Amino acid sequence: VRACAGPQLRAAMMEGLDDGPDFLSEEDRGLKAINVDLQSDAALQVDISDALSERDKVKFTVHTKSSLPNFKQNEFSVVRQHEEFIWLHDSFVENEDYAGYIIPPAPPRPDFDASREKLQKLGEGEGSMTKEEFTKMKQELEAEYLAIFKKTVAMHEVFLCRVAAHPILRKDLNFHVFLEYNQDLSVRGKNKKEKLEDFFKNMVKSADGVIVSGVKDVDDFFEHERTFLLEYHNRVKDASAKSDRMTRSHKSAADDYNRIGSSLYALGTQDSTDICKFFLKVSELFDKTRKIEARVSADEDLKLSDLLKYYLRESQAAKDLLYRRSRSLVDYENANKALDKARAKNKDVLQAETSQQLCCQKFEKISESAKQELIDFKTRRVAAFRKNLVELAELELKHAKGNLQLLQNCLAVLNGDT
Amino acid sequence: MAAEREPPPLGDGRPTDFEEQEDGEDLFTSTVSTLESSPSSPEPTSLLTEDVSTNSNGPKPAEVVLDDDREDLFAEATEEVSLDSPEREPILSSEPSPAVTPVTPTTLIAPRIESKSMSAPVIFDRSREEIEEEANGDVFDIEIGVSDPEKVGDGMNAYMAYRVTTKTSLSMFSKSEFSVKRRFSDFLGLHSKLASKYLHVGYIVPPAPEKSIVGMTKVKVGKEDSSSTEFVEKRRAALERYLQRTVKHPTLLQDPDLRQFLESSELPRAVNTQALSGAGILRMVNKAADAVNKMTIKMNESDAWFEEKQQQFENLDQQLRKLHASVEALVCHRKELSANTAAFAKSAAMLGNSEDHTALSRALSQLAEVEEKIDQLHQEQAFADFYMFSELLSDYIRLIAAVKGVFDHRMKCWQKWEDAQITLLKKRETEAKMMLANKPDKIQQAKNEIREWEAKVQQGERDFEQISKTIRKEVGRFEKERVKDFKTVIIKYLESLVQTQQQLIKYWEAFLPEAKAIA
Repeated sequence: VRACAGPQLRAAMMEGLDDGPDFLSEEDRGLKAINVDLQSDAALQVDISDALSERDKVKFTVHTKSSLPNFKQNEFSVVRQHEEFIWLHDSFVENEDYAGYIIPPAPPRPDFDASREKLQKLGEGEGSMTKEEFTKMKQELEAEYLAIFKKTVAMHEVFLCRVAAHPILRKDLNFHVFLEYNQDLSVRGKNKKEKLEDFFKNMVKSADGVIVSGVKDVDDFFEHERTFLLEYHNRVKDASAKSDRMTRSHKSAADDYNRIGSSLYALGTQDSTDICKFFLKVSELFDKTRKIEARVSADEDLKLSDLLKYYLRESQAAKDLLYRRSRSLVDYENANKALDKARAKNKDVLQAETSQQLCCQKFEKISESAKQELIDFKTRRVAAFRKNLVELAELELKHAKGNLQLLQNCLAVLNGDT
Repeated sequence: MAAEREPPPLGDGRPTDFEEQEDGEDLFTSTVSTLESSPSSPEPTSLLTEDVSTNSNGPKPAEVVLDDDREDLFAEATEEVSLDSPEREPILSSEPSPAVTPVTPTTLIAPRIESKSMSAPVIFDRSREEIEEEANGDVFDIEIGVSDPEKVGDGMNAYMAYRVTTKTSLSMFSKSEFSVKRRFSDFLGLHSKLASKYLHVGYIVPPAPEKSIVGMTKVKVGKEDSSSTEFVEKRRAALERYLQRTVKHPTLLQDPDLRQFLESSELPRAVNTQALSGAGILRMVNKAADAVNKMTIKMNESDAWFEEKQQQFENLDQQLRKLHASVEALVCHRKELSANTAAFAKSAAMLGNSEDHTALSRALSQLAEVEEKIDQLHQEQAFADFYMFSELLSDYIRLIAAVKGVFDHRMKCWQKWEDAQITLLKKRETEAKMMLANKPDKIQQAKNEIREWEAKVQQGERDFEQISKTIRKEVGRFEKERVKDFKTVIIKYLESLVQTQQQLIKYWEAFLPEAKAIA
């Protein structure tokens, strides 16, 4: 399946939906709004202008506009794949200089498996349903595929925008290479050995995390943040999962409306009594109301589920920051102890002093930037929730009113006839 | 209606003047048979009037009979006046083939007025008119409610008793409002009686709700969970719909068993309705035998109407089943949605608690409240999905099975007639043989047997005509009811959807300012 983001995507979407432009622009706004403070900065603007979905990978066209002297041109594009985004993210995480920042969470891997499976099953079952049903279901599945595609594009774009908006990260060399180098970055996915290393690193980190978090912080701010983030992260995780399940049930119910509409249509065309007109009208109603219900489900997914999922990842990144700070605090305290010991033994004192000073500097640097980062995180989070909850409520109202109108019109016709 | 149906060809090539014979015969056979409570619906008109006027004072067992007959007469008169070729007026005679004089439709209406002035069964007269009106217009002055399920007894002998309340202004009932207590097997017993009386002559008797051993066992055992309350409610609603459909049928409403069911405080227990009783097993065996027989009957359908209708009902059956499956899926998903929304609401509340920004925290709690209310909404909608839409469809799927059964009975009736004709033919051959062989005593015997089978052939033909006629009428009535039923219920269902949307709008409108208040 070939689906494109950008202008082509917009065109495709408009064909498939009744009020295409509306749907698209809201969604675009919705996803970017997850990070509200991404002011358009003339110095560096990044977006994903196009995307191609091939057999088992997605190719994103990353488009950059910049007035910075670092780049050879003012405007240019490169093609990147998901693995390259992950490479970039990991390079930030592993960079000691960035220990004091919340690293923008990596975009999730594009996953079309479920959708592809459904399309395949539909193809196999083509013989067992009427032509109308088949066309309807095919359109539905294609719309679903398109929606997932758009989402993955948006997730990748948000990551780049967050990096571009960060005062420090935007200057990163790897980032510039990522944006500009028009050859393949050759960052093959991690092989088994590296994946195993990662796994152990994570294990050690979480064990560490437990140990380190046991250390009570003298700083009230960080102590509060730690308690808050631990609980918040867990609850966002739970809410995100439940929201997912809710939107999926909603979608199943909307799909049932589709089948009911088809059955009513069949009844209407075959009935010998005067009820056939009635059935046809009700069938039409179900078809229309299904579209609205599907939209409700999609909007809930976007405004609620995606919002929660994003903040699940961001809160994890914030936790990671706190962990790094705690680590550096432990290092600092250990350096202090070593210095005391050295002084006592009067051996390698200078070395111990330098080491201690470095640790102190590192810790203070991290603490300072971490404080700002966490404050920004809160501001971003509140703004994003506000925007999305308001938009969610507005969309729910819009759809409920639309549904109501449909139903009342239909009832007026039906009651007038009988 | 369609043109007169042609009877299947007779071997002996007798003139086709069956219409002349059937009515008179029917009067008498029905006179006899209704005493054993199995009426057919005759069409004599002024004949009956005459009969009644001569009998108005004398107590006659036939009075009861006439009541039923007359009801049918008038019901037919008002419904079919403009349809079929004019009804024939038979002359009272004990011979199987009386002469007939045609009766014009106007004559049909006249007797009604006359009968009004008769002193004899006045009660029956009035109720007959009421039934006519009801059969014509849609004014049905009888309302049945099934309510207050109550568990009686303990353990495996326990059962649910339901209160059956009747509200009516029909004069055939002694009171205008009354109620009795009935248990499920009573309903099955009623249906069984009605079915045995009316199904084989072509009436579409509404089927009773299905038994459910699992469901009932849970209730008996005393499981007080939501699934057993749901089961009881489902059954109560089904019983109510069953009775309402049954009383809507003009012929069934007249049935004394139905009246006894609605009115009398004590009802003999219907033991033969138990699934595993002797009668139950016999029923199953008979059903199987019937199925086999149906396959082997090759009927020469001379009336395209019946073939067409059967095909239509077959299609309708398929479509309804498909629709029903989709609606059941909707009910299931809606219940799921309700559960998931409730879970999300709780989760959102927790999230709100841990959020340290005050305004956002409050907004999240409000969101949780909204979602909780919406969960309730989904639950109510799922109820409506089920009780209005899904149950309507499953009721009609079973009703259509009853319709198909009636068509099958017609086939069996035809088979009986056909068999009689074949036997008659054989008897004639025997007679011819005896004449050739010149055996006078055997000839007399043969002649007697021929007369006997001639009568049977005529009866068979009459029965077949009768059942065909009844089915046509019944199908017409059924289709009208079906259209009305579907329209009413689906409109009600759509109104439930309207209500849900209106509530949703209220909830989200209340939430929006809260979300905007996040600062």
